[in-house]
Amino acid sequence: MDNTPLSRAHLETLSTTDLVQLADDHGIDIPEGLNRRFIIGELLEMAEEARSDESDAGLLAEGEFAVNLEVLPETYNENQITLLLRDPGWVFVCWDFQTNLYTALTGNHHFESFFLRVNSLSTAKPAAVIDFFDVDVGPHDRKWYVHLSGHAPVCRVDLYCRNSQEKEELLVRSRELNLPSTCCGDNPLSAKNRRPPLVELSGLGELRKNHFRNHRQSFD
Amino acid sequence: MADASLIFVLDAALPYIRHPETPGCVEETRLFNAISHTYLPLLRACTALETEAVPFKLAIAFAPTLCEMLADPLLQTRYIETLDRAIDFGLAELDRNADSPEIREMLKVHLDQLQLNRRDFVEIYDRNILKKFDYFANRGYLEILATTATSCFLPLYTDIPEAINAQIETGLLIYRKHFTAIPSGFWLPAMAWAQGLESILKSYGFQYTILESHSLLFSDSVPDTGVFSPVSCENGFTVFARDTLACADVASREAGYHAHPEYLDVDRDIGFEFDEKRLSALFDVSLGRRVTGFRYWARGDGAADSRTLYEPSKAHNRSSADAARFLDRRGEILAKASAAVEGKPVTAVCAFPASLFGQDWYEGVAWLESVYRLAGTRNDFSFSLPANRFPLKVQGGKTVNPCYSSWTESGYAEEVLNNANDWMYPYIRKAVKRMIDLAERFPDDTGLKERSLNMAARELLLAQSMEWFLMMNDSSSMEYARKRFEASVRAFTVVYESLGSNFISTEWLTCTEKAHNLFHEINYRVFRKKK
Repeated sequence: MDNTPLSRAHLETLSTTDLVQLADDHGIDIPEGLNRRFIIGELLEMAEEARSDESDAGLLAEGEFAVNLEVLPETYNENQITLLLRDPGWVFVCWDFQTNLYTALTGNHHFESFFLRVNSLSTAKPAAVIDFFDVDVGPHDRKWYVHLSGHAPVCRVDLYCRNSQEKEELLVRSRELNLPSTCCGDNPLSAKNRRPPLVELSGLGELRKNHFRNHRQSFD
Repeated sequence: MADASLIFVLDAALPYIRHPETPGCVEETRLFNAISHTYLPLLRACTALETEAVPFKLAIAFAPTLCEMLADPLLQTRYIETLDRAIDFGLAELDRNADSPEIREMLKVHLDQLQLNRRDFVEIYDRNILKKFDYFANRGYLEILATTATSCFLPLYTDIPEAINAQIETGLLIYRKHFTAIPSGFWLPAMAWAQGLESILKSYGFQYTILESHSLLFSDSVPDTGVFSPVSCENGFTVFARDTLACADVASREAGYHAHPEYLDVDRDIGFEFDEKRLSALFDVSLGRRVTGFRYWARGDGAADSRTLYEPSKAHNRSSADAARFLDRRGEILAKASAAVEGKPVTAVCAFPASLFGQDWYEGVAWLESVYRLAGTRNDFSFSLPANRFPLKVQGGKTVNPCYSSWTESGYAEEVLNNANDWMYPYIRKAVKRMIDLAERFPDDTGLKERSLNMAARELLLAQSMEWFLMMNDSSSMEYARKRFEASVRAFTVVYESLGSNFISTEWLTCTEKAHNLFHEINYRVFRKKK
């Protein structure tokens, strides 16, 4: 195959037969009787695509992996905390440390522990802390399930380090998580207001019993 | 006649399982069983109903992963091979059981079904059953709901809307590939709902979804109509609530119709009972024992040593009786509901996993067909599609704010977020954030880089499949789930690292693409932030 770069000037110099042959060489199917202008257009478009591919491939070239990915990493080496809602009564918290910081904190002989501060927030902007409680976690812990005992509309969990000499140190703060407002909170066995007939017909009584059985910590 | 309607919705979901390197692997049989016991019988039932002009309406949400597997030539071929082996095995068993007329009768029933399945799959549907479902949708019998690309538990990603957008956009892309309708309804995997999803779904043009009943009944704005009317969220997006009591009549583990002693005991399959030698003609036992479809015993009283031979005619009569019982009960409830709203439209929605029909409950499809036949003779209510009922809200201007919920047993996220599977979240969430970053950094890339990014996006969507998280709760499947999840996260990470180092192995890329032969149309830019 002729390796001359495909430019319009060069292609215009070729006979129609040569153009058809060239297109065929490049795997372009040319219907019989196609105008040479279109054949040139097809060839130029193909050349443009090839150049574009080469340019990208230049940034991402054939090669072997630089990293061993047999095992997923134990840490992403960042201070980070995630908060996920499991059900209206429980949230899942998981966190990670920047390795140097973790080593420095735990290597300090005044180091005592890490702890999670579970904050109940108001819906006001900016949110105000209404209440909080702390949960001590081990230096090797990276996750915890936290029970939300109150009925706050918003929750946030902060990871702190406790040191015998200094004030507690905030390491990372989670996003603010909106907690679902549900009306299942009163005990189904207690007296309650009458509901509209279709709500009762929908099986609310049975639902509340099941909910109480499975999620009684969410009830008052 | 009161304006009362019943809506049936099926969740047709399966995780993407395809192992070209391991013919006969046990995991692929999930698809084959679904085709044999649910989808082909369902198509036969629909065809019979259409032929006999029996009105029927059914909504189905086909998971894009299932669509891609159903359209995959390799899996289609393997399905036919599985059927052929089963037919040969059945014929050999007929000879072997020459002295057991009752077993021979059961074998003949299974053989008839196998041969029917083979004929339908190969000759009638030309190996792709989706086309026939699309046909019924175009004729107005079925409504095919859109859903996410993989069965992602969306409430756990509401803080990363790009992840939800990517699931929805890719799901839509695959929907358009397999079906011709324009979906107005959206099926949420596991019906999992959290506040905020209504805005995202509405932004894609969807008009309604279906939620578990406590999503409305436990909300701070319980609609007076309970679950018997669709209701609007504040932004106008409509939600239906599932009629949990109606569904429990059918599917409750202990008391549902499917648990009746006369029905086939689907758990007592010869694949788990016969010795290795006898099964060797059917499958390689070293690759794992599995459901074969050959079952001879009725459920009986449920005792482990109960051995009551299955009697198809008795089971058939039972399914007809259960269909009548179901309709009578619904008629009674809908009449009460209708009276309570003074004749305004009432609707009850029954949503089930499609696997209930045929796989978990062998007679389930026959029951469904009976339900439609008997309903056609009633004048107190009729079957509808969600698309026809969503505008019929009785609530007037009152809106609802549905609460966090799902249709899992816990009603929330306990099954997908517990000590067995919570280790997966740091990886998947990190990968999602990295993918968004990649999509932002390389918005216009083409060639090898685009191909790599598309593969990363595909693997990420696969890693989000809820099934891996659920399978981690079961010791028999957790190893496979872990392997699949880790493989997808690793593949994603290889691309991520490669884009940093500027080197990638095209051989590895091609190999991974071939193994996960789905979502060819994927565009990694679906992970970009919406400006």
